[in-house]
Amino acid sequence: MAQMLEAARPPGGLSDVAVDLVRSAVGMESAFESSFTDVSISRVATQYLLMATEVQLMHSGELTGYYPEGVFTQASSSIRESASWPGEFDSLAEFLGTFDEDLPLFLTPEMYLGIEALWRDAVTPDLARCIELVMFAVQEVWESSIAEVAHLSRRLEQNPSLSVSAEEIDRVTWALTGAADLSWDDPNSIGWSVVRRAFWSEMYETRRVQLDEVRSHIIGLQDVLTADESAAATRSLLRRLNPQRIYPA
Amino acid sequence: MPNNLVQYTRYDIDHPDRWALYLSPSDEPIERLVVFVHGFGGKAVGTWLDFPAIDLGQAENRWWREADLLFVGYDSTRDSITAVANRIRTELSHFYPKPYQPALDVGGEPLRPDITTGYRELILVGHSLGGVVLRRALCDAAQTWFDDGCPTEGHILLTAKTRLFSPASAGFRAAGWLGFLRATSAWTAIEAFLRRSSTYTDLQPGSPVLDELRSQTLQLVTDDAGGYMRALRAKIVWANPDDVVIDLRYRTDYVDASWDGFTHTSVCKPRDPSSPGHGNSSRPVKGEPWISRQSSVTAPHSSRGEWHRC
Repeated sequence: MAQMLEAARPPGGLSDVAVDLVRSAVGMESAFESSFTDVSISRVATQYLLMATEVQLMHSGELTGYYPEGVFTQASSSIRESASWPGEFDSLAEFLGTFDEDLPLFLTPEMYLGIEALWRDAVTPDLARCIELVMFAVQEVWESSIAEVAHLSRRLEQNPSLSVSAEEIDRVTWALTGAADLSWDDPNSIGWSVVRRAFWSEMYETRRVQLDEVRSHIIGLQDVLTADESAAATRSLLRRLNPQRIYPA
Repeated sequence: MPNNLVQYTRYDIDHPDRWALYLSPSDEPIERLVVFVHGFGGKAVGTWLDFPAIDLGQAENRWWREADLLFVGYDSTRDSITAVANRIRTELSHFYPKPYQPALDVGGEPLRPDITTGYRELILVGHSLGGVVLRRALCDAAQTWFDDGCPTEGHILLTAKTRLFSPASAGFRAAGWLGFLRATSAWTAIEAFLRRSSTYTDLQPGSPVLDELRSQTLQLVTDDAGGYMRALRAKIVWANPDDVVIDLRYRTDYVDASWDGFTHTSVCKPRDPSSPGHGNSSRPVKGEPWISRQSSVTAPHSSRGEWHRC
């Protein structure tokens, strides 16, 4: 997998290409620049990335015969007409210019509806938030977000019957089910193409490793979880004595 | 690549969120709407793959060609059973019996020749937790009908045929955390565990919610001399083996069936149970599917929801 990622990486050591393109696409070089905050930039960038995948999906559907010929061109034209900022589409077209390269392998007409359905199912607010944080958030926001997940992980280890408020869990679901819905490694997945478009951002690999580490810690606790508080106390104690032990549910 | 398949056209509903329609392109009248409700940790459409990919051009898939499909999505770690049931009960009238017009009128061009004639048949299909959600919606529709004084036209849900795949009506087979873990992905289970989502409590064997749902359904069907509560009688197929849910039907349900070689997850996929090696088969269902088979009881009302007074 690492070799595949490396092979797909643009030559010349480009860094933060996706971010730069999106900044350009949303008019950051124009007079509108001052109206954008770091947070809104990352959100807009995420939406463009998701839109890129949607349009790629449409292109795939056209090539497999699901959509009539020309629908991709028509969609592209519509995007041009709806562009809010001068010059937006040129940058966007460049940003989205790798559709053909990203086509899933062996996509047949029979497979198309299934792949489209899986992608639409996967695009949840949690997944969008995950993309936003891993790929586009400024470092300060990323660090505080991943720290919150790591803190939850430590609390769960100390208390296997932990329950948290809806507000608290909602702040970390991007790292739980949100990250689970994004196909990091499957080159045949539409979702993976989202990753591929942005992964050459230098921060992506570092953040992904951090996220994988904290997720591995949480998933490693699944055998000790119990809603029974007395059992939780015992398990927590035994786990400290013997971290490798597997406990009956 | 040429596409000789005849396929559904997908339309994503803006409201309710996560609902999706798959529309048949048939030139012939569309007879029915099939509503799919997934289970805990499931996905609106992904749970049911490959129903949307059925080749509608095949003669043996005529039943599907005459059907539109409505996939109900929800967040099972956040939404309660009652909330999803209420959503279905209140929103379904936008989709049945008259087809959902925004999906059929594409830029002024109709998707198929007839986009206004109403469906003649409503079929509810639930998997696991989705079966409990549908039973809740049906009970509340019945209660509403009684509360309104048994009007001539009953709630549309009560005109439906109910088909359930391994429903969680009797709860998870394993109690507590293990039952949750077996039912879905680890991440969904962990998230639901941490927030102690209502389904975590409600799907435990013997939970008050499941007990109340069963006794209410039994009473409604048992007291129903006129056959108005027929939709509350479910036809069920269980996976065998199924280590996730307790395979116990209500005594008012139709006699159930079991499909060997299917798991809790795979039982709701359109495989042909009569084909050799069906457990590993990826072939779509051939011929009239199980969910279309007729019940042995005749409805007391017409297929368009015209009811006699109770």
